[in-house]
Amino acid sequence: MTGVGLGGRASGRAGLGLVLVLAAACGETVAVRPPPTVLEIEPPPHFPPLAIPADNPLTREKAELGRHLFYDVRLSGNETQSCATCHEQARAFSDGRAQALGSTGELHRRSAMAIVNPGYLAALTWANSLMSSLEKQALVPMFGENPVELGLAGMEDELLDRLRAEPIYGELFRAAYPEDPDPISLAHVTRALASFERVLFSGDAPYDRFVQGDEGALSDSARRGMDLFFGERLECYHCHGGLFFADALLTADTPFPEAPYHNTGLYNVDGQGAYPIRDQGLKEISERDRDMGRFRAPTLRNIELTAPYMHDGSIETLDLVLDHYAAGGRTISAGPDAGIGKDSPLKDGLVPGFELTPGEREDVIEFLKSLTDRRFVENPTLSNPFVP
Amino acid sequence: MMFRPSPVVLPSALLVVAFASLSAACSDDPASDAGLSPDAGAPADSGPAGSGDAGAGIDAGETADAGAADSGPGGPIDVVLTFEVVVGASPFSCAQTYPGVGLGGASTWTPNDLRFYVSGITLDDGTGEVPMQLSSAPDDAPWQEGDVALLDFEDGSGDCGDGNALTRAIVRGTVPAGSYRGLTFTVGVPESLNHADGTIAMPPLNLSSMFWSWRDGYKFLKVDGTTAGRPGGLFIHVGSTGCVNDNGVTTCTSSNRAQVTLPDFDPATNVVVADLAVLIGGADLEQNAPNTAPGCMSEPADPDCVPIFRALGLPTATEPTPPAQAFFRMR
Repeated sequence: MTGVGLGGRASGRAGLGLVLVLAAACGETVAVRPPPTVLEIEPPPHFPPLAIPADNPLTREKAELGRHLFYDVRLSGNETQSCATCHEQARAFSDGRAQALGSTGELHRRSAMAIVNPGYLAALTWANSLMSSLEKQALVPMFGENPVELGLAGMEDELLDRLRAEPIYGELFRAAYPEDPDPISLAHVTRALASFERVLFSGDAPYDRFVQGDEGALSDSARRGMDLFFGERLECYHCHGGLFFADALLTADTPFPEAPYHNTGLYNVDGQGAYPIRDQGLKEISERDRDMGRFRAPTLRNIELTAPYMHDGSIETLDLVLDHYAAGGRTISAGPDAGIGKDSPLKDGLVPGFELTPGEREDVIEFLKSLTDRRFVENPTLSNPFVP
Repeated sequence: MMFRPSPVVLPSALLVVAFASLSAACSDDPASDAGLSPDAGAPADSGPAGSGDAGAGIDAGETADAGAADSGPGGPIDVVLTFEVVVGASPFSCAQTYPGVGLGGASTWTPNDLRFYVSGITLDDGTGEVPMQLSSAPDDAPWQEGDVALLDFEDGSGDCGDGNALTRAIVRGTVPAGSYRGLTFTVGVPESLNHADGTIAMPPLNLSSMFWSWRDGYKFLKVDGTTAGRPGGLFIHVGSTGCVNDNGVTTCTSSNRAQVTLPDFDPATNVVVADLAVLIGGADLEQNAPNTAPGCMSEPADPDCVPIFRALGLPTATEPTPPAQAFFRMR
């Protein structure tokens, strides 16, 4: 099929998705979209336009190439891991671990993030404001040495030789880069991976049907939970807001994308707000004291599938997450990480703590479950192409 | 398409006399003519174009006996800066191990890698610093781009498994006709290039092992090895930190670019010597400060970086105004 270059943006009907169009009283049913048979490169109709970098126009062929690379263990030095090893589709592209494990056995400090609508993120990874594009971020797991993840440092030539030796890649690279006589290059690998990630659209959760007019898509409990979520008692939406339930929004219409980072009082090891020295968040990158313990608020879409939670997987369940926020910060009573998070002077002002009845707690969790998009995690066009 | 350097074999253990072709004038030192010929003991450099034999470094039209070449305009003259790495009294080699290094001489260093970028090379013509224009000839292009050059002393032997057999111990370029004494250079990639996309960069900025992707930059200096106490690896990676991206513009609070000044350096007769024993001399190589990178990866709070940064003349919180760097000297 011919590639369709989309140039600057993929169209969406709803303009800036920050405006939530809640259901009118029409009560129509919005059908679950059937699973796609062809890789979709346009976002769901109610999403804002996707930002596409000028040097990596989005085509189906590039995304399909990227999909193959994503699932290919050739992308690790010792050929034991692919991106998908830590990013499994069934878990919304996370891995169920508190801390990720690399191809040479090195344990990461942090948890593999779910990959959900990453094309709409102004910054990637837990706490690194420099990771401003998918193309740039891909280099970290591929070539990083501390820790070793995919372990390809110094092996880019061997990687390309491996790809050249597999006939399907000749076809895929030529289809993706028809004008390049020698298309198998590292630059094309990272751009194809980024293109695949850009089409990891998750916008078919019950919540999405609800906002598009299907009042029946959310249970009463989930609707109550939604009101709590978007209310001023819990304040969840301040960081986990908008259509993407995050706050580092990038669209084709955000000329100055912001990537905020927040300290939620998860740790307070010295009484002055310090996080454990093994992981102090954004401060490690920016060297600014005020960035101590600050992390990006990840999307809550599919959150039901992506336990355990927080940057180090230190909170195992959604119930315990609610405990953390209800307390206004976590208390760790003993051990080297002991501290009272709610007393952290560095804690974000929008984590004050709140009261929550057991019934309300259930409602909030029901609402969070309504963000699970089965179509996304079962979408065969996003699955492993090497498995029949 | 990645440039493949031609198979230049420059064993770094050999004493290679730096030969630079300069118009010979101004020199009342008869040995200066010798500076125009390669040391008879050294194998001819088989790679770089036009430099395989005596005097070949001389620019066309210039001869060793050119007259008072510091007077009047002439064409640019070739300069070849030679770098050597030593470990105290011993030449550096991936195939060797080095006892008696580190704090208290307590360690034996087994090399895994040793590479670094240099930029901003100038030679002093008596009136000021004159920038050296780096060569983009085919044999130089894999190692030099614009103002940046990569020096590579790992040859894939011994435990230097991450690299390959290709090494590079020289920087080749030109300066305007004149006579020069005094060399300066920076260890690092200039800020304007440090945050660029390495996958589309020209060599030598497209080498993944020199990417420092988590910091959105390059490793300016990469010295990796093992010791008895650190068999899993001790990594010395120096690069810019404290970087933030504000709407597409990245700025870094800690540049970490070592500045090297060798005031008496004569490009005709001197070589630049980098002494690994000095770099690691103050460092405890058997232990790693808890909860810090294995070795020194330029984290500001890592005590393991303090002695190494001091050797490079780079500031740390512990020592904000260190003395001038001592890693590099001349011979």
